[in-house]
Amino acid sequence: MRPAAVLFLVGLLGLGASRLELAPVSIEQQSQNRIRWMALPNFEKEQLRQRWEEFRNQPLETQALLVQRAGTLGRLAAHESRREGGRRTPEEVEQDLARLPERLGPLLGLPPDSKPAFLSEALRVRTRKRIQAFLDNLVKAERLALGERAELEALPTWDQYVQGCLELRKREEIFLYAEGGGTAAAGVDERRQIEALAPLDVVEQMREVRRLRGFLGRAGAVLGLDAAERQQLADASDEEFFEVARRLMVPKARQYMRERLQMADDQIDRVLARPYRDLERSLHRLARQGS
Amino acid sequence: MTDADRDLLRRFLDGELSRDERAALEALLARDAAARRYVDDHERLWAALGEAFADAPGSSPASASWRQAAVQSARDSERGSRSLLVHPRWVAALAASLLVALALWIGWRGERSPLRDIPAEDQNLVRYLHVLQGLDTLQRLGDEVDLRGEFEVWRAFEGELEDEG
Repeated sequence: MRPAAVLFLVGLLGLGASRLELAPVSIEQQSQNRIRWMALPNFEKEQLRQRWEEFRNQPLETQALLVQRAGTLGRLAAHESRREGGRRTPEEVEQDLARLPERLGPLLGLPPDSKPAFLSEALRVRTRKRIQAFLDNLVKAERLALGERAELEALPTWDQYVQGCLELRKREEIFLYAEGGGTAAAGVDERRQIEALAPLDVVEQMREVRRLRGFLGRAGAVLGLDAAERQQLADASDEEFFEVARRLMVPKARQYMRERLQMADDQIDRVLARPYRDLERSLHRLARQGS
Repeated sequence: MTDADRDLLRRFLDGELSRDERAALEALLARDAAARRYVDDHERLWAALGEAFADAPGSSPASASWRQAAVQSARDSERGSRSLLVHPRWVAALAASLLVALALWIGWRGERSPLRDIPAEDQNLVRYLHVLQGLDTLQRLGDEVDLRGEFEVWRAFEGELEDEG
């Protein structure tokens, strides 16, 4: 068996295991839970033990769905807290949830009063298109073998396919973060904590790192942003983030490729024409070759 | 085996051979038992590593990427020693070291868990306490939360299309 095939099988075994167990809980969340538990009176602990038994008696799919929803709500609360400042109350998180359909419609180019079921379908179509571009870009960058892609695309359900692609996204995000000095600088503890996170938690964390550096990977380490530029990135809304980041990073990338890598202008233009994440990957490889 | 033969074998195992080189490889494997043994040893190593990490006690989704990274790391370190053929004893030592490291890591992870001072029978409950305490909301607003989840997945792949960023 070829090493690449072994690696991929190991990955799929991990993915298989992830379908049989509940999603991991971050160390931070476990710490918060521990503190809350310690503060509870005994009769409430006893009620929760009974509730836990009822929860565990539900089908595993139901348990997994509820854990997944809890993760989604936790990320929403954390995200809105960062953007708005201050900790969101449960009522405010419910309001954020209720506002989602009217916010989502225009983002997807649909009327603001679109029905949730219609939005869900539109999201699936657009997600499939983005994932296909992601896989195409990884194959072109030699970060994914064609056989591995075929294995992913052969997964029997949409949910499994998405989960597999999210695991791949997580792997790529951690790879770039580590290559940019992230986990190496912070040490084993941080790497352990990041790898224990669910893929969407990793994506969320790395989005915040990009707000500080512009790019992950070696390119982020060599193309520094000054305080004013970092502030522009920090102030950018989610929807305009990649546009602002590109505006800030492209002149630096052009200068780096011209002066440090002695690349010709037409080559530079081809690299800079790539979508943001593909540009980040290309610049990472170029910076690594140039160092 | 000559140095050129060893180089041919290494490039085969790295998946780098052209069609012409594959013919040369087949001829080498047909005439040289040491070459066949080398390829067999190598493939057994990767199969064993894959099984060892997949079946490790305490294996969890969180450790899947770690296992993958460990196997990748072993692969990289093997690739790094391009000027040498891997002796089976070194292979066994590498596999054993990785298993010991895995065992130590699992123990270390347990010691450093934030729930280490919670009685074992309550640890899973406390790990998922936020789910239990939010069950009513999670059931009542299920569709809204699921839509938010789909939105998160869509955003996770942002920046890959030509017209995005």
